[in-house]
Amino acid sequence: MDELDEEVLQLFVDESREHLAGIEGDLLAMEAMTVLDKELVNKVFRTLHTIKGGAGFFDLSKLQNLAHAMENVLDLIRNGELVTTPLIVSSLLAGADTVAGMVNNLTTSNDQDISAHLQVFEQILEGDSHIAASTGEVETNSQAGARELFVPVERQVEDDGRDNEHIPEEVRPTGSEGDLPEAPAAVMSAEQLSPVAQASASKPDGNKPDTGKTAQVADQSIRVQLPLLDRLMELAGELVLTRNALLQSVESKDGASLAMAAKKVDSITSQLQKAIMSTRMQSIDIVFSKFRRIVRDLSGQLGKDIRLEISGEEVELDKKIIEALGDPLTHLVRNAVDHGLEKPAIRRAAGKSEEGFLRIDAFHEAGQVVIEISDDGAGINPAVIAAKAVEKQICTEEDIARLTDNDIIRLIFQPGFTTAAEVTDISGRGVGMDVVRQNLAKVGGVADIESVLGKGSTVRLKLPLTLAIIPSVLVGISSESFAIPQVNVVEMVGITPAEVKNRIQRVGGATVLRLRGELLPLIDLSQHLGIEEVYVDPVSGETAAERRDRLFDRRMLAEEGEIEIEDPRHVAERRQNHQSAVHIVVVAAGVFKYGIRVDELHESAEIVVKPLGMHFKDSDEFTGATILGDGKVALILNAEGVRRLTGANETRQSLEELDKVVAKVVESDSCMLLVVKNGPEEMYAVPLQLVARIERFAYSDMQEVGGKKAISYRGGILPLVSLEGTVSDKAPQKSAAKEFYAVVFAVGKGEVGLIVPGIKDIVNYTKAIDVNTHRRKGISGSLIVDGAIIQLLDLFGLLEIVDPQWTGHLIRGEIDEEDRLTILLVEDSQFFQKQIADEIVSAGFTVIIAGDGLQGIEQLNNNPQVCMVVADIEMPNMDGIEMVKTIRAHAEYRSLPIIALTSVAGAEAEKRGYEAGVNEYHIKLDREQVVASCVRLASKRPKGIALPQIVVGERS
Amino acid sequence: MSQVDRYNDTEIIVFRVGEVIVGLPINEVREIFKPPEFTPVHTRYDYVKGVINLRGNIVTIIDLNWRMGLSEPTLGGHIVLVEFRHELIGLLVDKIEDSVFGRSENFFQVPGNINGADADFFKAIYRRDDDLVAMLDLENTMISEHTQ
Repeated sequence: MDELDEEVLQLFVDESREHLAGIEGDLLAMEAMTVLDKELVNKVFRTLHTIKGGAGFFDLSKLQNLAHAMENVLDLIRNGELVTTPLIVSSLLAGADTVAGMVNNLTTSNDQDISAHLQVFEQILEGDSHIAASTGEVETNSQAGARELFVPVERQVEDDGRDNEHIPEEVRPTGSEGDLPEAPAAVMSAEQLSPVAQASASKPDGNKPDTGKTAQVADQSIRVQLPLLDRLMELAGELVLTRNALLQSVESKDGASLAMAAKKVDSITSQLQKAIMSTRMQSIDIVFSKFRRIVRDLSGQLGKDIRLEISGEEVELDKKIIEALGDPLTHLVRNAVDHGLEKPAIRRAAGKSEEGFLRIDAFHEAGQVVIEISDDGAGINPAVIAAKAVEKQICTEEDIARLTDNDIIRLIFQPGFTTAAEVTDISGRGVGMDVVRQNLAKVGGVADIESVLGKGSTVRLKLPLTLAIIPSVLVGISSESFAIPQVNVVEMVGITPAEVKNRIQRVGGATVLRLRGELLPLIDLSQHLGIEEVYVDPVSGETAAERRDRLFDRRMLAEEGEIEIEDPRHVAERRQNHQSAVHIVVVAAGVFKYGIRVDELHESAEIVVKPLGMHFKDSDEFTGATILGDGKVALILNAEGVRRLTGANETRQSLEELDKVVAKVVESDSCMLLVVKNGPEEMYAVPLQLVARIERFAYSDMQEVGGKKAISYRGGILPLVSLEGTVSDKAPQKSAAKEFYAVVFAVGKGEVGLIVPGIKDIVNYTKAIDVNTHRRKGISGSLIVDGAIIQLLDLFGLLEIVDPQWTGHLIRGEIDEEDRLTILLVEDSQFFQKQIADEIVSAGFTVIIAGDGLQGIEQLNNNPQVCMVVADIEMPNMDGIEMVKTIRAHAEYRSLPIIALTSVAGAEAEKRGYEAGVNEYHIKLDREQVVASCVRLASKRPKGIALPQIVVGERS
Repeated sequence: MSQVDRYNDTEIIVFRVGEVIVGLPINEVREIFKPPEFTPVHTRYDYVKGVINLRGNIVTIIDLNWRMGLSEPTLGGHIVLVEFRHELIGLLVDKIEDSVFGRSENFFQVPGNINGADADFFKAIYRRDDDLVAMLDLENTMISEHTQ
């Protein structure tokens, strides 16, 4: 045997011994059980199954046959077709002893005569009805079978002296010498079977401690590289030195050196921890290496052509995890080869290359080790799995109907599944995935599968690096801290107050989180664990018992009209309050995801797992506890247990239904409407999501410039739109109230306020909107709330009625509201005044209009914010040229851009203009040019320069 | 109940739980200390007051007052640390009273009810000078019908 085989063989021996150590107790427990304990029988079954598999691989046919025969018996017991009788258990015990003996002495196992065992098991299988019916009465059996039974014989143990150097001295079976019946192949009649079988069953008492000890010996020593030990010594030395320094600085009360010593202790401790941990680390190669041979042999056996690619062998894991990985990985690889990858002919027919591809990969991901086993085989047919699941009563057809294809495929992790149509030697009987899941769970790992029919399957195992220390996320729920192992954390979601309504919904008493089109049950742990809810005052930081309802609950109630909102502004404010943001940790429990609502997200930390006491035995929502940096204790949440505790899976069963309901709610979300009053009978609604905020102004502050209403607001100008004259026939009525509401909408980069005399309500309108009856420009439809007709405003239509250009530029958002520049337009013709002013305003400027040169100068004196002048040349009282000259006479106005407009183009006129100090010259009707110049030239005037009053006539 | 004879001469730690005077043989008591800050936990048992960090071990604290169904709230004066089935468990008691030397002949059978506490919680009664000390049965205290 070459070195590799030796190593793999040793692994098999170690594993088998470990499994066999508990088999005796389990078999005896089986004898004692009054009702069928499936889990127990399964456990024994799995043990033999694993051994059978390994034996088959190493060509240990006798061992394989024996294990297979025992498996058959156990299968009947598991299916309730055979009742465990003392006789059967005795035979099984005897068989298990032989198996153990063979495992301890593999080299000679093929010489062993196991025909006696095989015959006994065959008889049990054949005469099962009699044995089952007669509760183990051997007489009945013997009469029926009329056949002599062989007594199990432990012949091989005599050979233990030779050729087994790799087995340590103390593990050699010692039971053989004295206490075994010295009767190889002794033939006994059936009447004698029972006592003898029992005798041989009691015999392993002597034999068993050896196997137990062996397993312990294997467990309790580990090979450590010398350099690593040296490193540990070095660190220990450093630690001693630092301790001395620490003691000294404590004594001398020297703060600075104390801090330094503390830092050093910190650093050494983490290095030491790392080094000690690494002594437990082994590369996964130990497990991976055996797969080359397994895959090669299996594919030969099955007539398949398989290319195997293994990567990530260097990834290291805790010894214990590596040990636990052996079984599951072997099963997965076998499954892939046996069931996953097709035979060449089938592959060719499916249009794939004849050579199947199997990939085993290990890599680090987010502090965990991920192992992927992927094949490009046939994939798993969800329909087959579904049918089998129903047949095996794992779930009902109704359950199946609710599951997605991949969820159905995940059912193979349930006990009692097999994907092979017939039970084969290599794998089958449906223990495979069960073993995978269970063994992984023991070391804190999870398994998931993805499969596409015809394309292949990928099984992903996620494992913690080590068992003692697990990376976790610390969260705060109310005043308590909890740790959630990172392996379970899928993501963390922060939901802003504004999003809460859309993302978190209550459906039929359950709360769900909407996450990228998926609906996840949302769990409020404080409810389930009975944590007293506290409210942390955002200002003072004081805590008090929580009186307020959960944020989203309150919203929902508000939307349902159960809470009256007196002032809509509060809604807006609350939405912007960061304190009410909701944090959610999305965790995965097995294949099932859900969200846990937490109050605070603390740091992620490597926590040391401490066991919890007996009183937590059935609190499976906790896996343990850890001690935080401040010495306090935080419980570690068990994602699976929390799910069970809260019954979140039941929520999931109706997820699809939920989805429908929620979809409706969401649809209606677009109908969250702000209802405004224009008069006692006249009501309008606007979609709430368009509303930026609601302001209150005095009518007296409203200004009307150029036929447009606006109000100065936040240092800028807020254009206002009124309902009167646009969509309402009502005459403007200002006198009634002093104040009005402005519903502010964001339009492009700017904002527009809608003048409304009163706000009525916010309604969640779920029914359809009538888009015909009242539809016209500015009104997109109508709806009925409490018997009153409400017209739904079409904001953009409304703005277009006011000024088509305006909407255009607001939407284009070329100029920011706050940065609006003021341009002085000096023009005598009212027609041109309007034409040009409109154009400039629509380009985002504020325009001040003057009728002639004199007025122009007056306006300039009154409005220091004017940053550009657009002037006509031909004007009464003072013409443009004169005005420009007057303005330019003041040094402070030299930089003011002035453009001249004229209806008469001519070189002479232009020359006069430029001489006077005009920057540019345009023809009045070329409005695009004018606007372009405004945009180009106008810029904010520097602040702080006192502008002198221009006195007309001074120059002349 | 003839478990009375189980007690040999032993030193007894005497403490008070509500109105009940309770005793434990000194060899069953590991430590006595003032309660540090608890981490509240949420188990099936409302008498599990919480867990504490005792020199790096997580120790479950049981409120004896609650456990025995006594009405008065526990003052929580002290924790009596016991070892039960290889696990350290803290018993929250109101007050540590005394330690007395109990002679085996002074242990008697438990009457039906001791100041409101069920007799099942006690193994025996020890007659102190002029009053009675109920000897705590750890087994029955730790194991309720649920834990089994």
